[in-house]
Amino acid sequence: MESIVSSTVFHVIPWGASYALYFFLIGMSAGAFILSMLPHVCPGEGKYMPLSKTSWVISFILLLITGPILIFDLTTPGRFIYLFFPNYWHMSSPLMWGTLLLMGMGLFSILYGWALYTQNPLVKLFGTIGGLFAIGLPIYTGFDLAVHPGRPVWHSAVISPLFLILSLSSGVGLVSLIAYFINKDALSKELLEGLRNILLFSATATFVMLLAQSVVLAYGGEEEHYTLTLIYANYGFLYWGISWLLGTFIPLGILLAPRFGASTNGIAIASALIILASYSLRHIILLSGQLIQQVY
Amino acid sequence: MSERSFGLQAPPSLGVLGKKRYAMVIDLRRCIGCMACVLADKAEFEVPLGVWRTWVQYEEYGTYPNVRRQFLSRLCNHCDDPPCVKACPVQATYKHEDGFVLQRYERCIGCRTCMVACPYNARHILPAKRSNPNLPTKVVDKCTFCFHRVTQGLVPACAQTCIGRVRIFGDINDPKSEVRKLIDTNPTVVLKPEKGTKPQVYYILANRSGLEPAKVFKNLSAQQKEDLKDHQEHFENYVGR
Amino acid sequence: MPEISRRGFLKLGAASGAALAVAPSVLKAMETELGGRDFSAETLAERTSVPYTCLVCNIEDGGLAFVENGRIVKLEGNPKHVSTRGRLCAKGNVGMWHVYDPDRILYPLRRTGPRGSGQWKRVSWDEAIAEVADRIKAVLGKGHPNEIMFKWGRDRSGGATGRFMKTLGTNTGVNHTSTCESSKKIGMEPTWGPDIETPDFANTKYIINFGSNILEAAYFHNPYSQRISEGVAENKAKLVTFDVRLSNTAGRSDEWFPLFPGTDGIVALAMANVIMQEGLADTQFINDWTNYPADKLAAYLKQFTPEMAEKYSGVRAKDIRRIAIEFASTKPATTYTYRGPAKHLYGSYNERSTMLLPIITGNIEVKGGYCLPRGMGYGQPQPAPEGGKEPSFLSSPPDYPLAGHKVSHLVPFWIKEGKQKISMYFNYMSSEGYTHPAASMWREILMDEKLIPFSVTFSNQMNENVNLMDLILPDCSYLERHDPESMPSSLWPWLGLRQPVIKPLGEAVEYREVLKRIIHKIDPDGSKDMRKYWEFKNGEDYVRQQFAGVQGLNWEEFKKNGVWPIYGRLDPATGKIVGKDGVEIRAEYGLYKKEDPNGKVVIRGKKYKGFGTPDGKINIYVPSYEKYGFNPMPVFKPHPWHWNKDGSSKLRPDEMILTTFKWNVHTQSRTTNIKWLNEIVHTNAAWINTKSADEKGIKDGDLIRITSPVGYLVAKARVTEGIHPKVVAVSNTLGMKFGRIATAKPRDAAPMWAGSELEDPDTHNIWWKSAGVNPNDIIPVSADPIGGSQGWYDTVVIVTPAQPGDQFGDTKFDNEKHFQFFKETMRYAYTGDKHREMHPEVKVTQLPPAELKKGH
Repeated sequence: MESIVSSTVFHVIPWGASYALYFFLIGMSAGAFILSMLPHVCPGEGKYMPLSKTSWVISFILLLITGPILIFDLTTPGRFIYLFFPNYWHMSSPLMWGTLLLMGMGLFSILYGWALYTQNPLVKLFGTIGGLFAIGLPIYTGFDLAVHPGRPVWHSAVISPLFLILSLSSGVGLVSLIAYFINKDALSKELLEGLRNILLFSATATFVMLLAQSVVLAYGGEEEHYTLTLIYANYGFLYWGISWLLGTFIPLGILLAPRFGASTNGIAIASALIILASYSLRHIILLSGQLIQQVY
Repeated sequence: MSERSFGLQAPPSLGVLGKKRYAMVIDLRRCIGCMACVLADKAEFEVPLGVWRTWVQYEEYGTYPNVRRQFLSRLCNHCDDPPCVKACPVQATYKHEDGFVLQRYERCIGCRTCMVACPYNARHILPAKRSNPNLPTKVVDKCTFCFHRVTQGLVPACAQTCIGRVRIFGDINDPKSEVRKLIDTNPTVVLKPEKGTKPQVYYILANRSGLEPAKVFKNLSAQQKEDLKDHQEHFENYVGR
Repeated sequence: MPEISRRGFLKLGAASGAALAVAPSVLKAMETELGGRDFSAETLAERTSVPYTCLVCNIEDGGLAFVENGRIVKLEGNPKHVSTRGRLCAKGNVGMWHVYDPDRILYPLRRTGPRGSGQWKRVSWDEAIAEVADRIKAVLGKGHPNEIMFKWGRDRSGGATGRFMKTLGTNTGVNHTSTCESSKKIGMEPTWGPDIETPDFANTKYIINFGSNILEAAYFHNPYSQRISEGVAENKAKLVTFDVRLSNTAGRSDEWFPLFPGTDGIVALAMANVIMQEGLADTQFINDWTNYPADKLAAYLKQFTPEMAEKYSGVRAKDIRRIAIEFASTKPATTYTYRGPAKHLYGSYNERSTMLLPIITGNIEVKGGYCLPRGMGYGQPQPAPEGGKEPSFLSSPPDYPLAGHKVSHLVPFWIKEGKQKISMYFNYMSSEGYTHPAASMWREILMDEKLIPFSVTFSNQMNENVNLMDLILPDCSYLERHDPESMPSSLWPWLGLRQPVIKPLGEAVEYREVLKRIIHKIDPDGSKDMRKYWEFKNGEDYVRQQFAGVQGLNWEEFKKNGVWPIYGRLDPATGKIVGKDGVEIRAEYGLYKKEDPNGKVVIRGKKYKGFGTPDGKINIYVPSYEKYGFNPMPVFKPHPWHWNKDGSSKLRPDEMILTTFKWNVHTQSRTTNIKWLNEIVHTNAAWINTKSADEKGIKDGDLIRITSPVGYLVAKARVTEGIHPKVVAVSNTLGMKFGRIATAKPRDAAPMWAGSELEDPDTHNIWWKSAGVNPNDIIPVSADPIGGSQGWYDTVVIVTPAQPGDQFGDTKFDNEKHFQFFKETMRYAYTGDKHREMHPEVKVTQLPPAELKKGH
């Protein structure tokens, strides 16, 4: 019989699902922004121009939603303002990086939107700077978790790139899905092909990183390995069903299908599934890293 | 070798000439698991229900009739390289040059980043309701090594009442201190040294398996699972229902 | 040391990140002090302190209470106290919640509905005192003061109860000692005088602990645990524990031997036999200092072979031999016992058997050995009343002539039988309807207005017992009142003072002051010759008079220090008390070996002080036992419920023994509503061995039924390797149905008895939903025919998975069956038909008659 450790001391899970929701939404916002600025910044990507404005609107709305989520998750929401006091700033904290990135993103999203709608040539400059912030945001949300060596699953170099890719795929996916519902017939073949390529690339990258993360966990220390076991037990459906099967394999299958993969329906279904997985993966990663320590 | 010190208000002082480094030795040869430390601490800071600055884990191991029980007192490790301090976006938590890791309630925004950063679960959110309404609520709190007592020349409250004289407190940089002598003359372990935190609570005769969080989680008793569920439900909004 | 205000401190920090490093350094280079002062963590202001003596349990540790804005905020051990040495246990640390218990009774309450209905109204003290006084006068007027019964438990008034009873002339006083350790006392007293030992744990090399959980509870948990830790860590002492359950003490022992309940005695006898046979005994000591020669003793002990001990106890004979030899060949060594061996039918024999080990190895009164208790006394205010002449059956039942500490747990049955008429029932610091065996029987008689026409309690905590009273007089908590104290908890005797730290809350009044008011009401002009015994100004005046005769004690100093004498100061480097020379104070050993011209013991021409026995020697052979037909030698009597005459087990395969135990964070009843203690232990699962659970198809956490011959309870199983397979253990400390914390119902409105003055917002943070179950209703009474104490650990039960519809905490009992068990246990009493049958080896022709004796 194994030992029994007993105590009536329990610890809350410090970061609950609202953090996963924030990571998810801010990631989509960033992904959508990238899609919006791409045709303005990269000369060869003009095919995305029809989606540029839609993408920006989506990105901006999501950005507006995320702020309150973050603020009201604080146990003292009124003090969110402290994050903007330069004499309080603590640059070793990823949360501070996030604050600055969000401020930058907000500012340049507005400037970019203004330039986009007024057809100001500055759209290229604002798009470029905004795009850098948009890339930074999911990367920092990854660091939010990865810089904590005390947490299994989180402390991994793969988290930031994974979150970046999930951000791209979910952002592009959301734009595709909305475009599909607005007017699916307006989507050109070239545009569909481009969306397919982005989704295919990101789904493949997600597959590789998810695989890498899981294998490393399985071969990790006791806490890592046991967390993987707990993921199977507690989040079996989210992990196997949503993240692996529905969110990775099926979209890959759809997108690889020669005709269906580039069809409006194919892209829409793949997008919806990819969005689902991009939330469920963040949820699993965020919460599973905090399970064991409830009783330690 | 240069010490990592970014994000810390005071660099690591362990073994640094002319610097103090307060530390605690927990001599488990002497521990009887009596919980006096836990309750002295609850009283010293009027710690609300549901949260703890220090606690004691019991571990029962072996097969009948060869069974033993071992205790493990836990508290903030006042790490020399505290990850919680690095993680705080507004410097609400900071490192004192003598080694204390302290919290400024009036600055804490309640983002709980320090809680996720701490590999030892030494931090908690204060519930919204407290016996003494003047005390802070809804912000993060933690063990202070009884900074307010030590600055007055007193040992921390847990060490004060420790029946077995298990908890010994002092400046580890002082070769004549009791903590230093105990560490020099006994094999000691610290919790999760691999996390790079340089924890400053040293255990004599700690039982390995009780130190492993996965093992603790795996072998929860039915009652503990029930209690855990109740605790989770009550504090799902962090500050108590 | 410059004082740093928190404000200044924070300002420094708030200025900029870099400035944080400028926060004041801790200037002190030397080691820190251990205590004696305290500061607010919030304001950094120093708190004022008042020394007191703890009374959460009965260890009576010395404490310092720190007060901030009139509120007790922190308790710590008194560093001047030679026994406590500045430390308190878990329960002691949170004693302030006995004062600020949100459900505390603060005002006199009179019952309005039927008994037990929970209907109360607040009355004035004048009304309450007048009613009590009138009723007493009415009883006294009939000429039978014994109809006034006093039931007390943890009475630390230092004689106030006795004075009150004597003033009224009643001898009907019932304590609670038979539910505690009385058979240990009755085993020890005739053997060597005092009723307890004081082992020198700090200096010993070997400890055999029979059935005590000294690291969690028992006499004297805190002081002894300190010294056991010292002995084990600094002196490399070995700790060996015989216990049915893996208590913290057993769990921290170098070796734990689980044994079948009640068989400690045979294990000890077998060890004594081995020691004698191996030639490891101190025969010189035995021959000089005991009343039984070594060679005769060796011959006597031969019958108790390790193999025989193995058969009963389950401890392997080779282990018994090994531990016996280790114990006898390691010097100094000591044993320690508490309730484990004693709380059985014939528990007194068990205690006497374990005592043999330190005696025959010459470990009595040596450094590191088994020492006599060091007591210190105080007096009574003068004049003192003489007391009533009429003997009381309930107080000293003739069926138990040796039970000098009474047989309190059989009292409800005797009342029901009509052995003695009761007109008035006083209750003080006792919860018999909750903590005693057959608790349901107590509640039955307390409910019965024919048997108990009027009842009154001094209490501030509502519980199963108080709920059945007619009048509740709100008592002070132990931090609001006076008591004189002394306990033999160290090798240095001491006197302690309990004094109010704060003014009593609400309308609570100190016990002895209430007694005084009652007497003054009965005898306003002194014409009844009662008032003269109660002419003290207040509680302090009364207690001051008690210490007036103590040579060298200065009252003002005593109040300032809380303890006397002060032997030295607490050395922060070692945690020990050191004298002026900086060295740990040295205890005096060999008290019995002091030469004394009036001594009873003569050895090789010299007269010695000796022990507190009639002949001054250790009585291995006890004549008083023999007088009443009991075995005068240490002996083992297999329990007739557990064993057949041929030594085979009587238990069917599905039968187990129910034992109870205490947690380190709870007392039996008074801590049940203390929030911080309940947070740690709020439910009491039934411990059951993995193997036994598997056989019964019980899994960890399953609801189970524990069925005793008098009822059943439904508990949750805690499946563990740490318990004897034939034992199921349920703690005796939880399951109270009163108090919002005890019942984990924080959202209930304040109960009518409490009001809402002491509401604690933190109560809303009670996060646990589990409460406990109390086993005392299904534990039948059983009394040791010698010591009179309850056989707590003898109950034969059947453990099964719960039945459909069973809820956690369900308890069913049958008082008719309780009554049958009472009749059954009386058959083993001195007057019972089984007494001679159980003692065929004792050849006594004529036994003295069973007579009522005077005294209370």
